[in-house]
Amino acid sequence: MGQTAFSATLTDLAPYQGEWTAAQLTHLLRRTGYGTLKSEVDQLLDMGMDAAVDALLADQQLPSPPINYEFANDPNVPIGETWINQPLVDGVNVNNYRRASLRAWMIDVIRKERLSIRETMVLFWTNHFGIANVNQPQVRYDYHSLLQAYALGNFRDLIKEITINPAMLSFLNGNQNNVNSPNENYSRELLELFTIGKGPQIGEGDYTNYTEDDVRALARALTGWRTRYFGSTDPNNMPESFFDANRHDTTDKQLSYHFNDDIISDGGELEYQQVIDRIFEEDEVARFICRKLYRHFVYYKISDAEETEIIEAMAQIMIANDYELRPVMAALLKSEHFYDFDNRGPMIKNPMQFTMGLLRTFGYDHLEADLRQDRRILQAYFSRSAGMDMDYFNPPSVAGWEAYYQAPGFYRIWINSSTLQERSRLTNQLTANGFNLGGLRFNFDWLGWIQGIPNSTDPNDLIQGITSILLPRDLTEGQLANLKEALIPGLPDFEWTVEYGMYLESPDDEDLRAAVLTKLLDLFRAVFNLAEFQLV
Amino acid sequence: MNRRNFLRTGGALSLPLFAHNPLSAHLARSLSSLVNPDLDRVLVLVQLNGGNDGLNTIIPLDQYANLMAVRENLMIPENQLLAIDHDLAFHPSATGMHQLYQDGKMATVQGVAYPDQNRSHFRSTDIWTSASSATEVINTGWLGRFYQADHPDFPQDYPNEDCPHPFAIAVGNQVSQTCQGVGTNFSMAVSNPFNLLALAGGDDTPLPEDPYGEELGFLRTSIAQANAYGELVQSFAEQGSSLVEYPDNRFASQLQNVAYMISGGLRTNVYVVSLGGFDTHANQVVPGTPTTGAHAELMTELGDALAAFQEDLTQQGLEEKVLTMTFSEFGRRIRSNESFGSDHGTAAPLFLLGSCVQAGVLGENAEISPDAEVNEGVALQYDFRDIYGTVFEDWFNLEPATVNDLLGHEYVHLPIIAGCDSPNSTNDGPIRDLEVQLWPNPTSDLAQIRFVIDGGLTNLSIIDVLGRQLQTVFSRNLPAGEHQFELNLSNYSKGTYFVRLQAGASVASRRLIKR
Repeated sequence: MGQTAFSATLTDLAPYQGEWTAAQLTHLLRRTGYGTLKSEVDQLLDMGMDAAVDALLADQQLPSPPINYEFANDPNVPIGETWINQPLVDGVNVNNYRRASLRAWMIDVIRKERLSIRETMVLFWTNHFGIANVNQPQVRYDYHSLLQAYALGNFRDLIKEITINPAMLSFLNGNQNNVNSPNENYSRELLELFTIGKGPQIGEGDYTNYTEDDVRALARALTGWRTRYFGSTDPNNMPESFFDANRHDTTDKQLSYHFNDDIISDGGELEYQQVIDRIFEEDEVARFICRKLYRHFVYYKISDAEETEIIEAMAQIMIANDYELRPVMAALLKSEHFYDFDNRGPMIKNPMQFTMGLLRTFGYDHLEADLRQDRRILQAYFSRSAGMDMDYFNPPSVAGWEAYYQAPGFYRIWINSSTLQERSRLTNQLTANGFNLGGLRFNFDWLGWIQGIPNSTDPNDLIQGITSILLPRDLTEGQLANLKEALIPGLPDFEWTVEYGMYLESPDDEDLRAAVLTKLLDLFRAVFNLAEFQLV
Repeated sequence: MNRRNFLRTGGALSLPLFAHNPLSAHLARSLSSLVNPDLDRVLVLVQLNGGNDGLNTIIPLDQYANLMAVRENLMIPENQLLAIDHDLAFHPSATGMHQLYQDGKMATVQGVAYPDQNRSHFRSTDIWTSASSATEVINTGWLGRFYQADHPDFPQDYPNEDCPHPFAIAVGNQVSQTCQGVGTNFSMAVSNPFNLLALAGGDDTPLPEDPYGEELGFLRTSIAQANAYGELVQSFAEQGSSLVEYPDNRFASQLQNVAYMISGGLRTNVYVVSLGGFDTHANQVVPGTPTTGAHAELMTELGDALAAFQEDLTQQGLEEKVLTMTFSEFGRRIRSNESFGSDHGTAAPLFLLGSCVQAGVLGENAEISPDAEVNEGVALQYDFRDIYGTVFEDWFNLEPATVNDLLGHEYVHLPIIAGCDSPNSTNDGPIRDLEVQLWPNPTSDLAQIRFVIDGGLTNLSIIDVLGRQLQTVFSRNLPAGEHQFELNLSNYSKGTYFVRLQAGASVASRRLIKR
């Protein structure tokens, strides 16, 4: 939006050589995960940058599946067991509890994730494919776990899997695409949004990278795929996709000059792979996805210089590595450019970064909640994110959330008077009474948390410690002074030292505890209310 | 000017500057105040997301047999339709819309779209919200430019004594692209006007001159504005009233909240509400019972809420203050698909509601052929920018030259607003039958067109079934009387074409087959 040409360091993705302090490390953690855990900072700081990035990119065990945590009327799924392979039930709505379970599970996976970029990549893909309104939770689960499995895998392989995934076949009507009545919905988005991208229109039906005729030709090549057993109550017939040769168009599919006038000949059940392989022969696919990665992990503005130096370098790495994601992400996250000071802090948090950042940073580990209470609190977080306009399982369109593609606003689209209030409502609630679920109060262990901050008995060190973890950049002296005013209004520094010290000596004294906590919550509320807290 | 203020106005919130905007030269010339500050008229925009199937919203009865030939699986039995005049009938679930029409509170414009139809949701929505042509990308909204011209520094120093109220309110969690200015959006997102929370903004420290400083400046201003307007919006909503019962759904409650804000005295000129779900590729109707299904539910939801809203305004004596207008990114194709749905098409009807509309139907019933092509959309009759232009001129009292500048388009004034002291609503010539004759049809290369006009600027163009404008045969002033021209299709492949003739507000569109 701004016309000012800021020039972050451009070095063709040259490796970062500068100092490796908490400032660089927390930048890395905030952009690749949700929030900043002290345990993660401690672990990665001594490793150095290379090893830290490698650790975040390492393969992780996939999470165990969601379970039934409260619904007693599913004859196939006792409480405590998973429902992902169990059919629906005649006369009993089991989708509702499963949907709730899936939401809570998704949040739980993020909450428990440690030292990994995976769940941030899953969000990237969730945004990339934009699948919404999948009514049957097990179909959504299968799709979601596909994104988890391929989070850092091979982009081409992921697109192949997505193309015949039941959720996608249903979402973009691929399951209705047949020789007699081709449906172009999927082939259009495959080109426009998922792989090569739509360039400027340079002729009638010609979008620089492909033509309308290519959309039609690819639709015909993808005919024959169907879905079945959605809504099935038969354990032997669970939702799946399958190939119906009778519905497949076996004639040649002529592509345009953008694809070298190539022809896709009948490949039957495997023809979809020919389609994907052919699209991926075009280098523009790498540029397209690398631009999106850049927007997700670095900044929304891509200058001409960044396009030629950074995006192109990323694309070349991707091509050289046969469309593997990991080498590209490693090069980006280890680059001088990524750690450039200009790239530290100008990203407005998406609602998941806002809510999950709080949840992961502060956690409820101290609570002895039962499973059902715990899952309800996780569902509450899911809903709060949705209330801030990011319903994780329902992106607003196949293009994903506008903040990742809509010029000129991009990330700013997350912010308006209504969503700002939603964000404040959450932090105000957390710094007041927390969540009240069935009489049980859920709140963070604020007092326990600050014990991890060095020298927290000194109010200046306490504020410095909190803000350096929660905010992307240092505050000014004046801002720090204002925060101290929130903590100890009109009082000399030693009053915090004294009162907090008394509490530490007698942590079981409820009066001392309440007095200190009230002041501490005033401080946290003031930090959360800073405009800076919206940034990573 | 100190660094901080500079960044607030010049950095943080602006801007693809005027020089980069194709409409900038026009705007720069028209920076004097556009709007009479005492004007208390309200425009309520109803955005129907997904592309409404106009052919199943208001059905041309004279085409019923042919519609049965091409979209039988969507068709509702003729005896269940809610007939009006002009050989038209509403969907049986659209009782609210039908009632509004019967009460003389609805103007229906048929065949609304734009030349060179784009069938992408996102792009076509951008075209409708920006009022750009299909061939240019404009990042500002049609209403945003209207505000921008008078308030180039917004949001810096707003609200203020002269402009205490938000210019526009988008009901929901998202600001409206229609109100996007060159750097900032002029609409305030209000999901619930009775529950607005004051926000702390943090401190007003200098902003660093880098991307972080830009975004921080944006956030601080957003917070300050949310507070300033929020308190006000809530207080006016609380003073407002609503006298009728609305249906219990999200869309209706959006409109009811608008009624509260208007009746409470909030001086906001534009409200934007939205209803999604119109992208009915599949299961638009329930197989076998076409009066039910997704589209029927939408018709109920839309019509009942609009009828309740209008009744509320009437009972509160506000109906002469408020004009309501629907829009959707495109209509759907003439042929239905095998999934009991319809795919992205071209033109669709647009509805203007209220007691200040020129009630009735503008435009002809779409010409449906039993041989309609698979990709064929409903032909363009009226350019949506002519409707926007007329709303600017008749409803917001803008000078026609200013309106052309704002739209970047020479609009044609349409007879859609009447009475309520609209200054221009009596200037229109009559809509006349252009008495179009087109022969031979089918043809091989050449065809003749003969028509009768009252004289004035006349356009003749050839359009394909996808809505692409292939040829402007002419666009010039013609004298009154009968005219005959030759059309040359020798450069086009065999198939179906539309010949579109526009003479002032009179339009005709005819199918022409090349074989």
